[in-house]
Amino acid sequence: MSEKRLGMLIDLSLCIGCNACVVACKRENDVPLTKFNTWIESFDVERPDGRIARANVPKQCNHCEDAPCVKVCPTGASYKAEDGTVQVDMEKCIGCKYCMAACPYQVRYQLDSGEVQKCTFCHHRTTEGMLPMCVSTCVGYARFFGDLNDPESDISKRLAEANGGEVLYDDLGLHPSLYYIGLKDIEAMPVASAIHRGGNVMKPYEG
Amino acid sequence: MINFQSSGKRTSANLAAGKLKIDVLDCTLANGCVTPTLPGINWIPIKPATNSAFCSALIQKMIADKTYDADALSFTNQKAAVAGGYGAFSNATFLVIDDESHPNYKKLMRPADAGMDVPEKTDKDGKAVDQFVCIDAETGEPAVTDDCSKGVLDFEGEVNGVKVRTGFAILTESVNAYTIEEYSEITGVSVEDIERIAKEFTSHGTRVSVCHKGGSCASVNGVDAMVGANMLHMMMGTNQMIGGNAPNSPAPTTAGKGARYDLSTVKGKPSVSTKNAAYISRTGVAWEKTDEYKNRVAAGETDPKPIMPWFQYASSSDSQALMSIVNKYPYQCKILTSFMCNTIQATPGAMRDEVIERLKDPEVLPLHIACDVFIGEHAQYADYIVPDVTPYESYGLPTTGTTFTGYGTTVRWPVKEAESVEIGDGRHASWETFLSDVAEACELPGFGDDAITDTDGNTWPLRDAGDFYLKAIANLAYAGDEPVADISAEEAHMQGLDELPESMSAAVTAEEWPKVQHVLSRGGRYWPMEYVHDADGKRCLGYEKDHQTFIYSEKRALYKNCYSGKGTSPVLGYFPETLSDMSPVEEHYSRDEFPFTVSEHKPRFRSISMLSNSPVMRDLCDHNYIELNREDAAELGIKDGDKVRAVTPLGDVSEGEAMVRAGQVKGGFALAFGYEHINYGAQDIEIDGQMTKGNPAIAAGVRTHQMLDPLVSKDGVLSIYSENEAASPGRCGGMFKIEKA
Repeated sequence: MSEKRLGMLIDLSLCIGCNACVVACKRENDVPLTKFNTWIESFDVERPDGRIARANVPKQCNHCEDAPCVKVCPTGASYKAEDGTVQVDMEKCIGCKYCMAACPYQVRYQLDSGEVQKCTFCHHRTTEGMLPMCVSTCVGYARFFGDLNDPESDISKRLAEANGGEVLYDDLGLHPSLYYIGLKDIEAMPVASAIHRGGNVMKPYEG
Repeated sequence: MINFQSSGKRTSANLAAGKLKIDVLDCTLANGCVTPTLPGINWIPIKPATNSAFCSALIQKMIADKTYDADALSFTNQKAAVAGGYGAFSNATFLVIDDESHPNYKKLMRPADAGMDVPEKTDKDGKAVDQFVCIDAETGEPAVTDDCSKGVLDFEGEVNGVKVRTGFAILTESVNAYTIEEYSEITGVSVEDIERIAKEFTSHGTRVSVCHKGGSCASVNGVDAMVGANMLHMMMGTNQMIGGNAPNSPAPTTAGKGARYDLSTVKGKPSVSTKNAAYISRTGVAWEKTDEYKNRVAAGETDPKPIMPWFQYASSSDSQALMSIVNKYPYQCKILTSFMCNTIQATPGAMRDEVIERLKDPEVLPLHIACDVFIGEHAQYADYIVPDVTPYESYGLPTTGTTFTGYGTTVRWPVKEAESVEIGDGRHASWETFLSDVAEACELPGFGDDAITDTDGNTWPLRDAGDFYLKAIANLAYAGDEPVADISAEEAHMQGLDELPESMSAAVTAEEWPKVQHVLSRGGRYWPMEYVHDADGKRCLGYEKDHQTFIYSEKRALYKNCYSGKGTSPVLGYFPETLSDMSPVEEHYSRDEFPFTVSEHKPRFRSISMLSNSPVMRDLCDHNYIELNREDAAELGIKDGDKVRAVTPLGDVSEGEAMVRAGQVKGGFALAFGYEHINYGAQDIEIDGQMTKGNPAIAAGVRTHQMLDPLVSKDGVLSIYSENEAASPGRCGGMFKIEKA
């Protein structure tokens, strides 16, 4: 295990679904139209008290410790960087899309030029001491970022307060570096509308 | 409004910390602070156009339980309120003449009405000011409100033989017109929630507030929604109180008579006002005071009626002005100039073929010059389009738009040279240069050489935006007790402010420029929060000045509808939507047949009329939806994603894709505005023989096709469904049936 393990934590109670992070990410990373490095899934839920609330769940590469995309990559284009993040070496990518098929989070997409791309945790920024664009843009301060292996980092302290946080598809045992607060609570609430990705329907409401 | 980013930041943090509780009354659950796991916040669905009923219900409950702040309501003048620890007073205790035979029936009682001989009082200009009468709480006798501290709140009786009641007594009667159960039925808010919120609102002293903006009043009975929020504030004495109804964005004078320049006085300005002219929007003048009325009466007509409504208390209205133009009433508009607006697209019910045909017709509108960056719906029908500059190329000193209560102003200034055509002298085509050049050519005052005077009496030219706005920024830099510091050479260099064009520095004095640069470098100037807070930490800047809430509005009491002569209520109450003669719309059409009302809300991925041209925004959201409650949808057999139509009694059709959800109030459908463009890049445009093909994706989505007012829209007249007092269009409410398309 590398000494450093960069991770992100999203407090879902504070995400207001404004999508500012999505736009900032597209600008920062030149993400092509119709593709997203990060996106927000928004939907109505029934709270335990019977009232309706709007859930907003940001999604992006989970930078798994045991990343299936890295394992299946035949050329070593997908690799674990020293900071614990998963990166794609564009020079080595042959566009075979094995990684896209292997990713349970479905966060990868193919560029018109053939290479596969996804969220890098803004590697080009974090190596210069800056935060990922989505974190520094976040309107509600819902996103935290830092070294998960440093108990003194903001993210580690916040995770400790939140009993370690929660991850998507915990049962897959991939040890993602993208944590949430409130995910399990929301997953337990009945969905009461279509699930929108941004403002487009991702999954219609069946009623 | 808590979804606005700046307030969203603070709101979520305070909710998470348990320092704040919010109930969000909204027809539609927006993306925002009502997340599944944030404590202290609830979404309470409310039916469109019923906000005044909700406020009335709360006040009824507060009065019944005596939980309102009787102290705050009893102060009869500002001095007394301030001495009592508050920052505002009301006319709740003022007596109202309640005798139908009295010549001043419905008016607030004056000392003369009460048989009191009191000396005249004058304002600082020597003009006599009105004095009013209450029952002094201390003596139980009639007194002039300025001469006592507290009045009796709930009084009904006779003074000087005249039947009178207090405004508070009239308010009480009005909010008791319905039972809480009836209010619940009207609003869709449960009795339990009404009672819970009434209790909560009265459990925090003055640290409670109703956070409402224009949207809450955007129905044809919207004035009472605004009045309702004001009443709730006054019931708890929260006005000018920190944590209560603190004033938003107080700011020093910048674009007026400021610390360095007078930017509002135009020497030789023609004297045009509502005293000698009428707005084309038919606002600010009562029908009976118009020349037309007088002329028609003089010609022998009895009780003449106008072909379009007049709005005596409304200030101005772009929507009504547009409808006046296409009807050539009250007079023909010979020249229309439009700047950065899309009135036709933003007025529900206006964007229809008949209106567009007339707008294009030179017989109706001989000359229309638009100035815009885009060819939106409004600009599309102009005869000439003057290219404008974008926000990155222009100035602005916006102070409003958020719930920020700090003192100061943000500054926008050109960070790049404009892309619009250069017109000489280093100037670019824009609204400001167009105005300046046309004004100079027409020899109008206020532009060209010697247009602006500084505080030393020197005069300055006005030919471009910077000539004006940089002086406004100088006013900001010098406002208050101390001007800002000069920018340091190092900082100016670091930010590139030492490379700004000479035209900018030449717009102010050499002494002012480094201070102007200081403000530019920080994007504005804000004072520390202590500046707006009283030393006791309870009240806001300026609380000593008169802040009066009109529990009883004499102006509203004297309102007279131009068609029926009907009045409006001088106190808060719930009044269903009406047509132009104040008759309830439900008397004209069947609610059983048209059971739905509409509400519009701000889009997340568009602005009111713009951003459909942004590929990234379209990428995030192709189109909006007709948002329907899941129970309503089930009854109608409509499934999520079905194409549906909302149809008005007059056959106007809004067609879109259904979003079936729990986050929409029953009985109302909603849509985000900013969609279903017909121009703005959706159309083919030919300029100098070069064709640019339109993009149909820009046209996607649905907008409200609201009905016209059927009583006025006849014999060739086209008039929108409007608020009879405020003149604003009926954006929310109305009558619709929904069917599968």
